[in-house]
Amino acid sequence: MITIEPTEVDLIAFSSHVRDVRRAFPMISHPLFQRSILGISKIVEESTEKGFIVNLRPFGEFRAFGLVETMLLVFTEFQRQGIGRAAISLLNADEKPRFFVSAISNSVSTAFFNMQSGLILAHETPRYKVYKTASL
Amino acid sequence: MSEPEPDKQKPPKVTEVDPEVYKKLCEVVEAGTFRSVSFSPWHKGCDTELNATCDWDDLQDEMESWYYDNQEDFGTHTYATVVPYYNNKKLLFDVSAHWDRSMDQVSELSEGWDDVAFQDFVYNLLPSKLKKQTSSEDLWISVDVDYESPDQLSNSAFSISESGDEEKDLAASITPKNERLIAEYVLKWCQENHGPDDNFSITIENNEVGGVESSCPSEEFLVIPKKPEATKP
Repeated sequence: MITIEPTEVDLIAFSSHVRDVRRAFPMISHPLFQRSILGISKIVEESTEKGFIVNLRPFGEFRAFGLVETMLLVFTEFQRQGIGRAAISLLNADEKPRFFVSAISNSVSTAFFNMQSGLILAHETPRYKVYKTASL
Repeated sequence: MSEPEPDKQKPPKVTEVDPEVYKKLCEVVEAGTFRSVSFSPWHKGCDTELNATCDWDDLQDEMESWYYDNQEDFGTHTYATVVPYYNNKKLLFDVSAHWDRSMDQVSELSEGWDDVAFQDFVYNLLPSKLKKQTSSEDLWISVDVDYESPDQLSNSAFSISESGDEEKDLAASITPKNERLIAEYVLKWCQENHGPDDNFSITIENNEVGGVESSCPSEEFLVIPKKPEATKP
């Protein structure tokens, strides 16, 4: 069973998946990014940490999409195992408004979000796509 | 008086890569078929540009992995170029980077900037005669400010027009001393809102902040093959 467990860790200092964290969140060291983090949760399955969920106060143009940007990271070796889908489903259960941003250049990420029935494509630019919870 | 001693060169940072990757890197760098790779990170992605002619499909993946392992050492940046060298059987990566606040989609470019206060500041530096003929809200001011050190503050592309009327450029009426005050005004805002970097290039376009960039100190990395982990008896 997959659970989402709040944590209060420094993503880079704590994670043994530093490369994955930086690949998913390239501006993670940016001071403003650090200050905008509202909460971090671990995705855990059978006592194994398989990824992170980060809630962020949106920046600049992303503010138009809602009050909370949610960032999902499933570590490379655990991808394509339904963990991301289960995490989205758990997140959507609370019916809080949230949105996700996916880089067009990240074809794995974009393909994943396109397949989530609980999300709708809300906005698209040449650089990124924005997905929002479908019930909103 | 003796000549100043040259700065002692900072030793390169040591970075380990897989031995097979190291071997291939040495080959392609020595052969001149891998010249550079550039990375442009932003909020949710990183654009990579490889300058290489070698027949190595995984080179970009390998360099991206190396970048994600080491990017913390480059400082906050939105563009980094890695140029590899192979000298005296040593593989070196020379990294130069800069941070363009308009590119990361995280920075608040205009935070703390008050265009009306800026217009008022510049208006008060105009000669009295001109002040009587115009008002501060009609001034459209553009200037590029470059800062390297307290002794190296300069501005260029300085113009002041009345509501965009290019025929009436009032910039010539500003004394060099007052031009310096304008550059210092812009720099002070930048240092207060964009951190204590030791260099800045700031663009003000028609009273608004058009761009803020700074260069990160260049870094050199000595690339070595990763030693195999000792096996337990």
